[in-house]
Amino acid sequence: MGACQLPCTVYDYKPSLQQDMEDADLVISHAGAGTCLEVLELKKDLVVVVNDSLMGNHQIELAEKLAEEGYLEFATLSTLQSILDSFHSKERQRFPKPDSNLFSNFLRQQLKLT
Amino acid sequence: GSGGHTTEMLKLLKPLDRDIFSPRVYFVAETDNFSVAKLKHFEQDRSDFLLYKVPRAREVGQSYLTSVFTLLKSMILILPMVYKQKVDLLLVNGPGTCVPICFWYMILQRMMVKIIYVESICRVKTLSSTCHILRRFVSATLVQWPELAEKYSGTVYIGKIL
Repeated sequence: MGACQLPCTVYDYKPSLQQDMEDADLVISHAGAGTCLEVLELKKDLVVVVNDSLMGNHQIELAEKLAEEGYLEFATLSTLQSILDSFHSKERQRFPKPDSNLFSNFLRQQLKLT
Repeated sequence: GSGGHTTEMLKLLKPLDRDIFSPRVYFVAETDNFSVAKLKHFEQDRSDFLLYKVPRAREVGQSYLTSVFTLLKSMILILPMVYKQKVDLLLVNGPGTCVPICFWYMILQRMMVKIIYVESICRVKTLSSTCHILRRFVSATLVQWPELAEKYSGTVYIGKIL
């Protein structure tokens, strides 16, 4: 591994990554479900990285599904470099917002409310 | 529940008209301060809600043997809460805490309550254990991916709610 030429800011912990994510053009992250959803809801480009040994692990099912649907790019440590090299801010599928009336209508139907 | 369950539950509740779905009763695991804080924030402009703190049926990583005892304890302590608190609609989304609660509402309010189980968006290929336990007893089970509804008959995909 060569010396890193990239300017980096490093920190242990912040109560919220919201601001950093909003400022970012690209987010590279682990494949945690919460993080994936948070980043996609901010409409940011996202590359998730998992350990090769975790492939197929149910904890990354969501990230795998979101990659399949075209909302984010999926990389392992071995493929990350080439994913980033060929990454275009192409017109990715944007993660759709929930339909705000769907659930409400469903519940009202269940309760037989008009 | 904690973390993901709470975040998802609040996302589900956010678009609901709280004048219609009123009053609201929340059951939260007693050691879950994170969820209590999130929910108090969510309901900060409202006064038509109640909060019950319930013992956890099982802590993460707890041995299955001792879990039998904590489950029994939570069943016993939750019964009077459910007895006191009639509801028309019970929404659950999967933390272990919800099993005793569902159980007692099914017993005490048999025909008079609609129980809706909403599976997490993280469940893409398989249902959670809690869902497997509860789905034959609840009024409806909602999943977040159409292929899950196809795989498990009796579950429903109504579209994107999370």
